[in-house]
Amino acid sequence: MPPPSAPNRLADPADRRPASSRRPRPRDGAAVLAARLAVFGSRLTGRNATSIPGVVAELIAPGVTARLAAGLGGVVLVSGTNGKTSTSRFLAHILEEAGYDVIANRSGANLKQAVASTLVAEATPGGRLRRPGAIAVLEVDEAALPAEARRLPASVVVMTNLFRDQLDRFGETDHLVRLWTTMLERLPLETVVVSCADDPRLTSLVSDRPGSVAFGLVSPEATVESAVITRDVSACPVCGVPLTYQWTAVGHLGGYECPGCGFRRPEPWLSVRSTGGGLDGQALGFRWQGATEEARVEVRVPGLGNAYNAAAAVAAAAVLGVDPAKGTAAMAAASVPFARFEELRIDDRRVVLSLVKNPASLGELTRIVADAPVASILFVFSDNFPDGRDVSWYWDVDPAPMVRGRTFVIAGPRAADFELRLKYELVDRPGDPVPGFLGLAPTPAEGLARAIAATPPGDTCVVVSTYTALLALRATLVERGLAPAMPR
Amino acid sequence: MTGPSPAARRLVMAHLFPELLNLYGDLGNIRVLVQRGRWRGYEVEVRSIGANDEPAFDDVDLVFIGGGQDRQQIAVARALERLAAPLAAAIGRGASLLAVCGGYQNLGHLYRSELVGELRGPGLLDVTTEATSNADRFVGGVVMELPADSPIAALGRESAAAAGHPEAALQLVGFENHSGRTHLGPGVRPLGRVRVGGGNDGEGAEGAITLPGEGGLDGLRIGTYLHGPLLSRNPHLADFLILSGLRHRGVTQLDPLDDRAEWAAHVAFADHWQTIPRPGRARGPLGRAVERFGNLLGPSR
Repeated sequence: MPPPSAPNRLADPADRRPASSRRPRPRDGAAVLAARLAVFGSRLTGRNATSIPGVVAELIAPGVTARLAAGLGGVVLVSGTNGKTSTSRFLAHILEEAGYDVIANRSGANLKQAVASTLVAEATPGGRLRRPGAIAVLEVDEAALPAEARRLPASVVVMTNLFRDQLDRFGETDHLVRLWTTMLERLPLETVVVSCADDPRLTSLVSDRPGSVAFGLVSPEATVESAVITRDVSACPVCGVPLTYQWTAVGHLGGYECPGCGFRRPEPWLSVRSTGGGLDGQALGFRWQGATEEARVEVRVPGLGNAYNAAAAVAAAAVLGVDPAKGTAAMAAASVPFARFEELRIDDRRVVLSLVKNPASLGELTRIVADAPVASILFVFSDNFPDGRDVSWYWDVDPAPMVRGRTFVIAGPRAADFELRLKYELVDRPGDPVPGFLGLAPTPAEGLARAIAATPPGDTCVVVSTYTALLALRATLVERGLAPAMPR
Repeated sequence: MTGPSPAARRLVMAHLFPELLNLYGDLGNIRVLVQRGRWRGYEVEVRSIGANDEPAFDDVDLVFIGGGQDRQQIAVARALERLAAPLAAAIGRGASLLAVCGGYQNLGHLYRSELVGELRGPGLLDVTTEATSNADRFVGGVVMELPADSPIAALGRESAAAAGHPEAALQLVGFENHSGRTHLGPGVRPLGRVRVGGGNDGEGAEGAITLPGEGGLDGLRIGTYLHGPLLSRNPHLADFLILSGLRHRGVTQLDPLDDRAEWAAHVAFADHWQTIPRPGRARGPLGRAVERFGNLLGPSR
């Protein structure tokens, strides 16, 4: 059943008609054609055209994105620091299984221009959507969310979590919280906000918003301690008194209570319980308000982060009218997006690509890899603009449990910095070598070759990498026929 | 003989307000100091002193205060009203102080921003700071030159040369991310001059230093915007802080360490940032527009 407080947005998929209030303008068609030309042009120059078409279309016909969106049957915006891409993918999958027509920005490009590109790519040269009435599941960058929420008619806004991330770009996490506070004040009340109950900052953001839907983790039986040394939220977002945590799962997500003002983790509308770790997947149990028993499913996506993502997707689908029992069942066939625990087979070794971008994701990965049968690791650290120029965040995580007993190689422009991180964690006596360290590699591809060579056939090598470096490494693997091509 | 007997080999550090100021790998600076002490056989204690804690500075050799956000800086300013006097007493008898970013601003005389208004500080560093708009933040890698007579450079000369990078001893490298513009008073000298980056106020100076004995206090005081973390790639500065803080225990020299990886990372960082154009600096609105467009294009395959 859908959340009781949330009106069912799209009860009957057959009853979805395009809104007619905003008709296409004469230049919209030209904008769509020009955008296609831009796609062609940027592919010629070897770039993945995720942003340029949107920029071009908006230049020629300002507002074309919003006019196209008016023809949709619904818009879901998915934002937050971690889990945007996975949550969007799971949600799109659940909706498709339930018979909805879905448009999504699957490549993970999520800035304002990329969202515009996604819709423009779905339009006809007449300036109309090719599939009117479809539901758009759009992953949106945290800083870009307020603007998207203003221009697109969102039925649902999913907020996954807020961790410290890319401080060089956003300045401060507090700044982002202020942006979202203002956004929520302006967001129409019929838009349902789906957010994580285990994140105190998000809970405080939606506390006075009626009809919002919360998801969370069932407090693990054994105390789960995240590998993140510094919690992003230690003080009560309401009164500033230090929070008391009963447990934490990923970073600062957990069971919290304020001894000062009584602010505490609310009972979520939908809870997820995770059992059985490892790199291959896990068993998830979902329970939602009013359900008599837990719905269980084996999923192929590992980690507590993905348990949260799955919960967010099942809850958001419920708001859109998909029975959570069906949503749960659909998760069995859900797969990971590009480079999120993506498995490749190279030279008879299993190679697992895993993206890291902030202390929370590295801490989560540390815990998963520490307990999994892994022979070797390749670390790649880049600091291009989309990665965040400052990579100091890995000093806030203790990566030792991940590398102990394994061999590892480090590559990328900031490789020497990460070598120091491991030296200061792993070397006990001065002058000793860093145990397991095979050396710095001149390129990520060379590093992967070395790590694979150090992995016995049949065993697993994990690639831990920042975004742009992983994109480049994966492209190299695609060229060599070792990985499937990325979605455009 | 390079110091007191092993029994007396003790290094006590105070980490100020870790619950409020903990950005940008601040814990990395602590980790580096701890390991460089331990590798030399010192028993190292790190004492967290939070905003509501007792001022337990009595036997402290080294004080570290890190970076934070405006909201936390208000709480820090309030806590310093109570803790600044015992902190000054510890520096007075020889403890050394490293203040990074937000801590640097908080320990000056004044920090002024739109969000916090005017925050008074204890003036442990003779500086004042006002924040500019977010659009004018200095964000990026910093390479700065130490003065030719810098005792920090002197301390690093041998190990940098042994690592094959003699020029690195005369430099400090790190990452800056601040909207504050810090102006130095007569009681401090610039820590160095930037070759790459914004520094204190965009005029060339970066950081502030008061050497032991200057300004009526025996302890070394350093404030800087560099983090990332600062000390992992600048082993000479880490050792200078430790050595200065231990002088009151009779330590005059530290055992050398194998710092080849540290200097290699230092040089790699400097080379890396010397080739990257800095955003928003002296390139005008057109330059910034071109850069934004470049960011839109994303990385070329």
